[in-house]
Parts: sequence; C-alpha cells; structure tokens
Amino acid sequence: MNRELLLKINAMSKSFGTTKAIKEVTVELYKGEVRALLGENGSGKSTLMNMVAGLLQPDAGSMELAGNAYAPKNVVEANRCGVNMIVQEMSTVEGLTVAENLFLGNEGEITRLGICNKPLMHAKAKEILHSFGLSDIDVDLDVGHFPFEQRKLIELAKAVYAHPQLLIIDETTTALSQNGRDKLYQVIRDMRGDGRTVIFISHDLSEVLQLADSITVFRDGSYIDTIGSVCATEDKLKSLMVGRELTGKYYREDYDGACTGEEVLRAQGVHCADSGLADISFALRKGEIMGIGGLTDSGMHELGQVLFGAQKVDSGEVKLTAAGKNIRTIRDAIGGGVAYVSKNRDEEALFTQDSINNNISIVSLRKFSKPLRLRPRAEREFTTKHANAMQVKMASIHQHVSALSGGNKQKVALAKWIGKDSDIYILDCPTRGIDVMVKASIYDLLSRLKEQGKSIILISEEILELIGMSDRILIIKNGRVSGELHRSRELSEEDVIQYMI
Amino acid sequence: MINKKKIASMILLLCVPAVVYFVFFMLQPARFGSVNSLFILFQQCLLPTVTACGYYFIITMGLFDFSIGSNIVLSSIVGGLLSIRFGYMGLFLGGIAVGALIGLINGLMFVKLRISSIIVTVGMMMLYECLGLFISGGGIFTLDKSVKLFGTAPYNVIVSILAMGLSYILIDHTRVGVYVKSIGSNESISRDMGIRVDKYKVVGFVICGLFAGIAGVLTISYSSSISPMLNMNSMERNFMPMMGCFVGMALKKYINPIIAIVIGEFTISLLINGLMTNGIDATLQKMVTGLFLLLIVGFTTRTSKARVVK
Amino acid sequence: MKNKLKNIIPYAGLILVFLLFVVLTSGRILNAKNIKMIVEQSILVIISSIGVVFVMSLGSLDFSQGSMLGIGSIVAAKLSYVSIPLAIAATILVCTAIGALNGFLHVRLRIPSFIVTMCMMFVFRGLTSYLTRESALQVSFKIYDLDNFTLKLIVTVALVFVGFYIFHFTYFGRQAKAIGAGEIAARYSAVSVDKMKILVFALAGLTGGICAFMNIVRVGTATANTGSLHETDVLVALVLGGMSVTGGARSRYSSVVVGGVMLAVLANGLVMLGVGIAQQQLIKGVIFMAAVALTAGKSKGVTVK
Repeated sequence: MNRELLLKINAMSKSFGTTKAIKEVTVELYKGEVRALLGENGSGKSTLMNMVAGLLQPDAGSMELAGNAYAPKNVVEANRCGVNMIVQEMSTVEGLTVAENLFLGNEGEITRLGICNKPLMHAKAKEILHSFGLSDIDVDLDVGHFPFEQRKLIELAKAVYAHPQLLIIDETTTALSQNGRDKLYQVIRDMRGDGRTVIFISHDLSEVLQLADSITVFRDGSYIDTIGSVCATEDKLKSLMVGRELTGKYYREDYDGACTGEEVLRAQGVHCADSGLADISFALRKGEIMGIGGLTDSGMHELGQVLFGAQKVDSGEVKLTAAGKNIRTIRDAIGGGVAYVSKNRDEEALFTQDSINNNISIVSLRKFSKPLRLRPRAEREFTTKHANAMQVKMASIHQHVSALSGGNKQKVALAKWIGKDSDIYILDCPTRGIDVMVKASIYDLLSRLKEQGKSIILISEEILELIGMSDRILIIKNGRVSGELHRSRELSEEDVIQYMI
Repeated sequence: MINKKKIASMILLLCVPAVVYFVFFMLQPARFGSVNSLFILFQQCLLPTVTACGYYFIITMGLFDFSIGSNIVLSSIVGGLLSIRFGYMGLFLGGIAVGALIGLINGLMFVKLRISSIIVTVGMMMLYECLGLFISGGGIFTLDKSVKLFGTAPYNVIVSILAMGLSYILIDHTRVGVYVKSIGSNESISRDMGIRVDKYKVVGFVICGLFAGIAGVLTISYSSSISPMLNMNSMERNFMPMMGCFVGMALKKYINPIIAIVIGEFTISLLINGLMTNGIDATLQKMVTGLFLLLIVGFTTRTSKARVVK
Repeated sequence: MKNKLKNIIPYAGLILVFLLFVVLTSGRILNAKNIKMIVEQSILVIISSIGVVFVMSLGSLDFSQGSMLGIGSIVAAKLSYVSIPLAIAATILVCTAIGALNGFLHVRLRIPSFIVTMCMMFVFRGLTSYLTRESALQVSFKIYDLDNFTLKLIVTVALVFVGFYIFHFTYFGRQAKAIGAGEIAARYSAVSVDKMKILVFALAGLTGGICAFMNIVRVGTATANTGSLHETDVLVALVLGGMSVTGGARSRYSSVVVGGVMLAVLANGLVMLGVGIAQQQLIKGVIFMAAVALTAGKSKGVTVK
C-alpha cells in the first residue's frame, strides 16, 4: 500500500495548570487510513484530538498537514484546512434551525452582504441530508425538536459535506443506536475508499478491531505504540493500554481481607430519572473504601450527588444506618457526618475567590463560634491547624484559594471536611489534575482515614486508582450497578473494564 | 408545509389580543367600540414595539440595556436640532446615527470593561441623560411644525412597520441574526464554531441603539416636544420594550420572535389601557406595568435548576 | 499586597475628594453648619446601604429602595397621628415585608433580582403616586420632637455598628458572602441558600423602613416623588465606597460609610461650587463607571452578562 503522509504531529505538549495532559507526543498519519485511538480516561487522546481540530492550542510542538505547517486557531480554521471533528457532546445549537446549524460559522456560500439566501440554504441543506440518507428531516425546524441521535447525525452530515481530508470521531459511537452506527461506519468506509483519513476514538475494542486499519495507544499523556489491526487482539490492546510499573508506595499495600465493620450507609433501590440512575443498592461499612467506577456518563458522578442529598431521588432511599435517618437534603447529609468533594473542584467544592481560612471554616463554624458570635482568632487557629495537617503550601491562611496549585486546592477541600470530623467521605475524582507527588500524599491520607475508622466512597475514572485504593469496587454502567469486585492482588484493569463498557 | 404551521401559530397568537379586546369591549362598548380608538391604541404601542424590536437582539443574548430611555431622548434631541438645518434628512439620519453611536459606545464599554451589562448601561445612562440636557440647552425642545410628518398616521405607522420588518429580516434572514441567536443559545459552542462572540455582542448593542434612535425620531415627531429628564427617569421607557422581548423569547420556538413581540406589545397595551378605562387610576399605571413585567418574566423564563440566578 | 492596596483606595478617594473640595471652595466647605448638613445628607443613604450591602454581597441588586422610602413615608405619615411608636413599627414592618417579597419572588420564580426589585420599584412608586394624588401627606407635628440631629446621629452610628457586627461576626454575614463567592459551593456547605436570600432582601427592607422613617422626620411630608432617586444613590454610594458589584469575599462593609459620606461630600461640594444638577450627575456617572471598573472581580472564563 502506498503510504503517503497526511498528518505529522511533532513532539506536542499540553498542560493544564500543573497537569501534563500531553507529553511530547509524535504521531504520523497516512492518507486513506482509518486509525483508532485507544487509551484510558486521562490518557490524553481527546486532548490531542482537540488540538488537531483547532479547539485547543498546544504549549509546545507543531503539526504538518499534507506537507504544510498546520496550526489552527479555531475550529473554522481547521475546517478550512480540511480537518473536521465530531465530539461526544451535543454540538448543534438549539434555537437555530437544522439548516442554520449546518452552515453555522460557514455561511459564506449561502450569504451575500450578510443576508442569507434562505431558499438556497434550505436546498443545499436538503441535499446534504439527502446524500446521507436523512431526507425526512425538515431543515426549517428548530434543531431542538430532534432527539440526540438525529442531531448527532446532522453534525456528521455537516462534517462529511465539508469533504474533509481528515475526519476525527471522538467517542461518538457509544451514544448512537445500531442504525446510527451503521451510517457512521459507512462514512468511515467511504472516506477510506476515497483516499482520505479517519481517526476515531472508542472504548469498544471489538468495534475498533473491526473498523480500524491501525491502532494507536496512549497512556498517561504519552504515545505508546501503533499496531496494525490485523495482528492485534483485544487482550494485546488492553495490555498496551494498561501495562505499567508501579514503583514505591503509591496506593495501599495491604490486602488483608474484607471489611467487617458495622454498616454506616445504605442505598436501597435508588432511582433517579434526572440523573439517569436506576435501582442502585449497596451498603457501605465502617472503615471501608468503596470505589465507584464507570464511563464518564454512566451516572457515577451523579450518584455522588444523590448520596450527598444534593439531588432528589424518585424512589428508594439513602440511609444513615446508625442514626436510622434518611438522607434527603444536604443538611441531612452533613449533619449525619457525610462529606462531599465534587469533581468540579473550582466551581462546586471551593470558593476560589475567597481565603483558605474561609474555605476550611465554612462547614465547621459551630466548632469555635456561635451563630451570633464569630471568633476570628479561634477560627484562624482552627483553620491553620487543619491546613498545616494537610501540608497545604500557602503564603498565609488568608491567601485566596485561586492562587494555589491544583493539588493544594484539593488539600484545602479535604481539610474542610476533616475539620468537620466527617465520618463518610464521598470524593469525586479527588486526584484529577494533580501531579504524582501530591497524589501520593492524598492516597496516604485516605489510608489514614480508613485506619481511623472513616468510610470513603471513591468515585474515579482512573481504574488503577480504584484498584489500588478500594476494598470493593462498584461499577456503574448506564445508570445501573453492573458489577462488584473485591480487593485482591490479582485484580487487573481488564477485570474492571469489562464491566464498564 | 411548515409555512402553514407558522401561519397557524400566528393566527392562534392573534386570538389573544382579540379576546382581550373583546372582554374590554363588553365592559365599555362606548370607549372601545370604534375602530378609531383601536387605531389610536395601536399607534400608542408603536414606540415601545419599535424599541423592543432592537432590544431583542441583546436580550436574546442575556444582556440588558438600561440606557435605552436616555438613548431615545438623546436621539430625539439631536435629530430635532439637525432638522432645523437639514429638514427631514437631518431628523431621520441624525436620530438614527446618534442611536447607533450610543449603542456602539455601550457595547464597547461592556466588552472592554467586562462588567455586567446592567451596571455598565446604568452608569452610561447617567451620562447620556446629562448629555441630553447639555445639548438641548437645558429646556424643552420643540420640533418645528414643518418636519412633523412622522408624528401622524399613516407615516408613523409606515416607519414603524418598516422598522419591524427590518428587525424581522435581520433576525431570521441574516448572518447577524443567526449568530446572535447562536450566542444566546450556547455561547461556548458558538465560540468553538469560530464566531467572534465579543464582536457580535457589540453588534447587538448597536442594533439595539439604532432602533432606539428610530424610536427617538418617532417620539419627537409624535409629541413634537421633548424635555430631557435627569435622575434616571428615562428608565421608565425600558419596561414596555422589555416585556415585549420576554414574550418574544418565550415564543421563539413557535413563531418568529418579532411577530410575537408586536402582538405581545399590542396585547399588553390593550390590557393596560383597558384597565385604565375601567376605573384604575392613571397614577396606578406604573403599578400595573410593574406587575405585568413581573408576571411575564416569571412565567416566561424557565432557567434550568443548575443555573445560578443572581 | 495588591489586595491591601485595593483596600485603601476608597479611603484615599474619600480624603482626596474632601481635600479637593476644601481647596476648590476655599475652605467654605469646612463651615460647621455645612459639615452638619453633609452628615444629615449622608444619613439616609448610609442607613439604606447597611441593608443593601448584604444584598450586594450575594451578588444581587436592589432597585426598590427608593419606592420603599416612598411607601414607608406614607405609612409613617398616616400613622403618626395615632401614635409615634406605632408609626415606627408599622413603617419598618411594611418595608421589611416588601423586602421579603422581593426575596421570595427572586427565589421562587427564579427571576433575576434586578428585575424583581425594579418591578417592585414601579409597583410601589405607582402606589405612592396614587396615595398622594390629591395632596402630599402631612405628618403629625408630634414627629418634629424627634427631629434632633444628635438623636439621628446616634441612631445611625448604632445601626452602622450593628450592621458591621452582623456582617463580620455572625453566621448570617458569613453565609451571605459565601453565597456571593460561590452559590453551588455554598449549597454544598450546608448554607440554606434560598432561605438566606429571602432573609437578606428582608433585611434590606428593614433598613429601608428605618430610612423611610428617618426621612419623614426630616422632611415632614410624603409626596409622589419621595425617595425617587434613592436606589441609585445607594448603589452609587456603595460602589464609590469600594463595594464590589460581584459580591462574595470582596465585599467591604466600610463602603457603607465611606461611600455614603463621599456621595454627600460630592453633592454638597458641587452645589457649593454652583455646579448645575446636570453636571453633578455627569460627574457622579463618570466616577461611578471608574469605580465599577476598578472594583469588579474579574473571574477568568466566567461569562459576564
């Protein structure tokens, strides 16, 4: 096969704060190829594709497209160079018609002097959809009228119509029905036949092996390897995604058996339509670290909110066993000794534009003051004590949290709840965006909390973290519990992944 | 096929003012009986409607402009002054130019200072009010009889309908309209699509100002004199247009918002007028207006639970 | 360091403005009677600001203060003939109820606070006009007993201190600021956000009511225009005093006094210099815009509306 180079990514790097999302990645892509990208959440594949598609700019490195330097500042520039991307999230704008969405950002061919030639736009829109087998969509209707799948297909039609040299499909297949998927596969095959290139990201290994010519694997922000799909097997792929050496004490070292403490929390038959959860039941024991894993939109994050009383359930209950009380509101939860650190650290877990002092003290005011008598000095002593216990690197207790690094911010968030003497900690992605050293200290903290008899619900997308730290792992898939695994030295990522996807 | 649906929606919507009218007609046939009185009512609501047609462009993006009232006053005065030398051309072009210019200044201040549009336009309103007073020399400004054409029917109606038509075309048939709606619906996707969000926010302000300018021209033509007010009295002129815009936003899924605005404003005018003639004291008009806006906003906005309302 | 510098600006501004006028009026402004007038003029704004500063800490706005002044003055005037203590109590109660209503509509119907309070302003201004349509309402002469400068000063200072205490030393004040700093984070920290918002707006009503009574004591009559500029005076004063419009941790209670005094000095000085009312508003407007630009919190990536 004549392999002509289409896209060359040269030593690109990208960091978000102190987190290195992409570390000097170099990849080559050829014309007429279907390349799959594989890797865990956080492996960097989406970030890399976002840069190729113009959504993000790299910190270092460069790209070449068909021999020319390529550095798109936004999606439209990327489109002009022949690179189009379809993402997992909704990318059509409600309030605009299907036709308007198809031409959004690209009105040039149907506009003159700012005025849209509507008949022309509608005619062309119909043409685009027709060639895609979507003729029964009324192009003059608000795109909000259509269900998710149809909107995705409209996006796909838009991308295909642009006749791109390179089409990137980011985790779109999981959201589509078989019908939608078939259309997508047809597009991929057509593009390959036409000598153009497709990159697609998917968690479905069998789909990957079926469609792709070759597969590139990422891990921890670095490029690992590219192998041809002909000689690849699911097992081989999994081991490439996963294989790594752990040096030094990072996660827990103990494997001495199941938790037999008393039950502290029980979820029974929890249904919550708004959160997409159905029939969730489990019991949490004293001194137990229970991991909750799954794909991003499996409902695992929403489960954290439900357990904290931040989201009402349609039926079922969340009960604090010792007191016999149900958790229905946040007050119930906090009053019952439950703590919650949201994965949206900056918006929901912390007051970034406020001092470390105020952040730590807000839940524990009663410990050193009365409603009508705040005592700043006692407060300062309290917060300083806890900030130091967590080894928060700060200039002063009055420093704004926004000035801290991600790791230190997380320490402040945790200090807040430790200061409250919480017994049950619901932590959602506690080590996201934090560098390795601080991660280790957080794992250490979790171990110490466990020793003190506290219970932890660890919601995380990092499978290794779940395996390393949990006594038990509950996996959520499509809003339901799909599997439960117990702590063991032999537990591997493959074991977990199989319940997730 | 869709055109039939849209016309059907429009007819359905027209039933609302029809019903309201019917009710008041039953109560006071003498006052409401004649076509003439209906026509007078229609003319009265032209001003807020024209203003609303421009205001919609920024309200749909979640922005507000409190300086509209002072814009109308200022445009009236400058237009009037220019009409002395340049007749109708001066009146019209002067008014519109000033309106658009004020919109431009508001937009630039908003984008550059990065402060909420409410605060920015309240501050600027204070300045525009003073400017109005300075330019008019401190007193009431009266328009010369020779340029009073737009004050009377059918000319004021024609101008208004042209303005409404312009707004209709802008929102549904131009790139500006598409982008403004897009930004209002989902700003981050719009940005990703390469739309220059800041630029179009400024454009929205300019359009809003421009229509306020047209309203200014109509205002001075209708009342033939204008007295620039201080102390934020100009905020009063904000209410009726705002109501129309909220009605427009609520119904934009079913019908072109401009049409909804026009019908909405007329209905509200009808309601207020009807209440007035049925015994509610004129001084209570403000009260009724305030309550109406509250009701309309309360029933038309449906913010998702996650969104923070300040 | 930068924060400390920012903290000083309002005080520096006040001193600067004052000195400026001392120079421009060749010292006339320092006349004892004049100083007394400045203080009198600032009292109304300061008292309302005590409540509104809590509203702004939430990140919200209150445009109904002026109309509260109007309605409150009417209630006070009418009841002053019955009994003075009753008049005081009723005025405060009515205005507190209006404030609570503001909060309730804002929270329940999820309408932005500026729209709710603006509508309330219209509603009550209309009502005020209606109730005074035949004539301005005279207050009972008994009230004039209370028109004592020292008394008013003492009451104001006392209220300022109470407000200061609540702002800095109670859960209420802390929670209000927390809501402004991050509503979701506050909710997740067991702050009853909805209840707090209603209470804060009710508090603004309470101080509005006190202010209304102080006003009727000074002026003696309630007219259709009573309090017509008040809400913007309060907003301008707080901003000039250094209060951030975005609220949260950046909220400064000192803005209540600094701003109120600065506004009064400005008004007084400009009048003394013979500056016309239009120019006065112009200067107010320019300084307002400058102050807002300096104090607004610029959070990265947050959509400014």
